[in-house]
Amino acid sequence: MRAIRGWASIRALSVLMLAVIVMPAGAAYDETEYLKPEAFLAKVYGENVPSISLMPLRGDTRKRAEAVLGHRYSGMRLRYWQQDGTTAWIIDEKSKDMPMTIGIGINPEGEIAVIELLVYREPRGGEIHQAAFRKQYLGMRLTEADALSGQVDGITGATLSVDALNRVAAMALVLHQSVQASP
Amino acid sequence: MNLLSSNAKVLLVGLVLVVLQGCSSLKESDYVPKSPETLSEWMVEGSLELRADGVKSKSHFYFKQIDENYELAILGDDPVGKPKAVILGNIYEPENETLDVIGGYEAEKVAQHLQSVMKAGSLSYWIRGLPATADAKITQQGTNLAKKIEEDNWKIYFHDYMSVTGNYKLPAEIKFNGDSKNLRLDIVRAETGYLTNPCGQNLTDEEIEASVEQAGGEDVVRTLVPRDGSAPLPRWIDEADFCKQLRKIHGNQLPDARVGLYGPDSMMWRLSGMALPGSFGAGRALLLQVAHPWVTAGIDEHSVVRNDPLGRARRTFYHILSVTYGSMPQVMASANQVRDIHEEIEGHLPEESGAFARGSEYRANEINAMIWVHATLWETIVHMYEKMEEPLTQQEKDRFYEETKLFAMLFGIPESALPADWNEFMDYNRAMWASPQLTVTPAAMRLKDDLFKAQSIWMIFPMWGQEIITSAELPPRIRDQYDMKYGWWQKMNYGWMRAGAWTLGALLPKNMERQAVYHEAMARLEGERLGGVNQFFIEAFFDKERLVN
Repeated sequence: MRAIRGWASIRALSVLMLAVIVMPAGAAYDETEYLKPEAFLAKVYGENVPSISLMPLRGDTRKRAEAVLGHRYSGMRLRYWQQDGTTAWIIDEKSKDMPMTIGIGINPEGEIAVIELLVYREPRGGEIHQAAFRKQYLGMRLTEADALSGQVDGITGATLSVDALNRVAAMALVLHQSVQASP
Repeated sequence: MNLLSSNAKVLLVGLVLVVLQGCSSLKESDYVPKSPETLSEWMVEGSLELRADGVKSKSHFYFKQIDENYELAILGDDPVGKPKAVILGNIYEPENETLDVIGGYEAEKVAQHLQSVMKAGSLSYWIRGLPATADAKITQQGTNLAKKIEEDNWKIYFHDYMSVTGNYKLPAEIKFNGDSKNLRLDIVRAETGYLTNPCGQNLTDEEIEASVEQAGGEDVVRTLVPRDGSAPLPRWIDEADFCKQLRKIHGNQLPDARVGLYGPDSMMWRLSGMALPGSFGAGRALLLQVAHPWVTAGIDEHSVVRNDPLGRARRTFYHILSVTYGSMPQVMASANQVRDIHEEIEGHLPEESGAFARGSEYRANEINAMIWVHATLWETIVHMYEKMEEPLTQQEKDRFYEETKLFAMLFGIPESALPADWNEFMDYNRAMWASPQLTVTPAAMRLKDDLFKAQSIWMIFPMWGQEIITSAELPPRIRDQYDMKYGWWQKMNYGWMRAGAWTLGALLPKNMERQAVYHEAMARLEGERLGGVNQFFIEAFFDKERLVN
């Protein structure tokens, strides 16, 4: 009986020792959450944030959105917010191999009024979070060719993130137009 | 009483160690999930229990959506069985749901019972923690995580979320409360993409078909390792080449998505499932890879490995294990992610390195370099398995090697560029060990030093041990280039380490002979969630709740 008890204890200790040995330090996720969605919406609407709206992404709107993205959009509908002609969009877009989450507010004139990086999930390229960089987008509109109306100066080492932000900004403007055009 | 006391001591020692290590490493790190609205090809499976109109219905089920179309399959008592009844519909036309009955009256009754209380189309949203309409009232418990949704006379509570592939979190336990009716869904697992298409959808069918395979010529080994010691001609792989190989696997060879690339009868699962050969050979495989100047340059100039060598090892093995043990969608997700990471890795060699000239171009997505990285894995796993477990027959090695070709194809490498069989594969390995293509550069030396540097007090012994094991098992020429010693001191230590490992193997419970991811894959095949100590290991080592379930 004593031998069995000893054996049981040694087995249990072996499991625990192995568990401790394999435990690594540090997390597997390179992620920074810069802003909560509620805080982004507060920047767009102040205290009176509207309830959500839902847009099925179909037909011509889908075609235009995918054209500015340069790839198929994964998802069948979009959640957005609208009030007095101002719309707000939260969109995920891949920069390198992970998606970043971007919030864009567009005023009734169809100009970008707020652009925020909510979540960044890559180890590099997060410089697009800098306010001075994002400021370049404010006031931009959609051209007839569904492009941004202005030039954006890139950031060395963050080319993919800048490209992704450009795509999402143009997509949000396309979606805003679609909302404005709907009855 | 004595037994309790003895176990209590063991538990106390264990708890002290665990607390010292830090409680943060016991559970997966938290992360902000992607919005489940961005899912267009997905499925979940689990069980349902519905009580309504004085009737109780129970069944296993899966819910699958491909773009606009969804299907809710009633499986009956078998969690991985064939559908017995299927509700089909389109999210934009929820009134036109149809019911197909394949397997009998009981399944039909469950499906009709469910249809009497809700549209399956609404479930396509609720099951992901989303509102079905803009009229819903939502209470959040975090970004993209609903706590409660009130809609269509239901109060829907989301009690638990599971982490799934692609940075999503989906509800694991959902309770629907309505007037005199309630429904409970327990979700076991989910797929979040790559159900119908194995690669990204940036290319047309014509572009993929137009891709020309870059074969290895008549003498594959000499194409990869030229006799004169020069570097092989680069053969770049673009997205179309990559996609063409993925389509071959996805479309033609592997019909059972749940099993994935290999399955429990494969040599791959047999060899890589054992915990000890893999853990003893990890350093050998990594240093053989890094002895290739392209690999070193790619890591040194593009990776965060210098600051986080264990992290790089963990990410590498995460993808290797996902491809080896994952379901087909998980395999394809991992292959695409690795390709995306590799796509950005390119540059020019900063110095002359053996067969490679200073300033010559390198890229991660290149056939010769990728074949070498693959070779280090498979040659090492067989080498260590034979040393630590049992010898393999020629037939078993040939079978194993045939299986590794599928793995290579997932990285865009055409089968014709690979050595034909195990013997030719070993000729290739030996030629590489002797070739100036493998040259340990100063950057490789730094990577080696970083790799074996203990990051915490708990890692001092494992890292010291891993360095001795690696030194013992590396081909002598490469070991000398790394300036690693293998004299009497190292031989003595390696001797007792192997004996200790053998003893540990004998002491550990039988089901711990195989590594945790193997058990997780087996749970998937049985339609179950992993739990217990293997779940603990996965979260502790990979910092992920699940890899292949």
